[in-house]
Amino acid sequence: MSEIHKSDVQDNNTTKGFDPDRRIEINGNDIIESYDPDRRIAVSPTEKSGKSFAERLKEVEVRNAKDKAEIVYQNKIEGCAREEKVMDQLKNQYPESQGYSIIREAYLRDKNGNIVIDKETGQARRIDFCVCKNGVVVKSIEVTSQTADKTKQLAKESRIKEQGGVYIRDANGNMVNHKVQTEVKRCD
Amino acid sequence: MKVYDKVKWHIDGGEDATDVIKRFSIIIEYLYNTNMLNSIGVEIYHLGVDEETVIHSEMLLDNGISFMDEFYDRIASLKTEDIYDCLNSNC
Repeated sequence: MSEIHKSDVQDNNTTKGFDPDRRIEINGNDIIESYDPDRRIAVSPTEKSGKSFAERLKEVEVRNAKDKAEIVYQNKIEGCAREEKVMDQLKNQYPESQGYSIIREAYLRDKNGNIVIDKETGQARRIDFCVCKNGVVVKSIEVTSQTADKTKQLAKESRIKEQGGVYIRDANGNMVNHKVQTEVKRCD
Repeated sequence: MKVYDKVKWHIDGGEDATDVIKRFSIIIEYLYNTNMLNSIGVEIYHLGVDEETVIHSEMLLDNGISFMDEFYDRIASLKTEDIYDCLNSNC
């Protein structure tokens, strides 16, 4: 503004019209480049994290959360809502009247009923929903958000099954064969 | 079955995994020490807390279900250090 005033002031102290094509330059030590609309800003390596914008935004929101409790509570509510929605869908698709039963939160076990531990991670594998019929799991579901990566969990499941963890326990304590591939069901 | 909470809901939601696991460890340790876990809960307790950990009604005795129904939502929203203090009678 001061530059326009200095160069364009007339005797009667009025300024000439604004020139949108003129590029402002500061002389001396504070020289800046003129604005170039064709210049492309290089993406820094940190932005090439492979994460989507939604994932990065969520991370920033969590870090900057004024009230961490809100985030904790929100995650619990959203997680619960996702799974209740899937439970309702499964009940409709696989009704009890047709001989189906739905087992929740079942750990993979061996034929003796022992929870099998993955040798690589030292962890067990728990499955959100198992749909059973005639003593066999016919559908196995892992519920998650739209963005969470479940590759590691599925790989762990494969290893546990190779170690003999191909059963789950039903509500009556009976061992039910679980050889189907677990599907990842993504919900909002 | 009523599912009170899952570690994965919070880790997948962007929370710090170490803090989430610590929070769940404090709560499950409390449930164990106060005899609120049934045999399924004790089995889960001995597995240790990790990303697979869930707290649900079928791992609890009746007193555990009552406790979780009444207090869990309030406890879960506290800072980790406050959860520890409250459950260990320092609040």
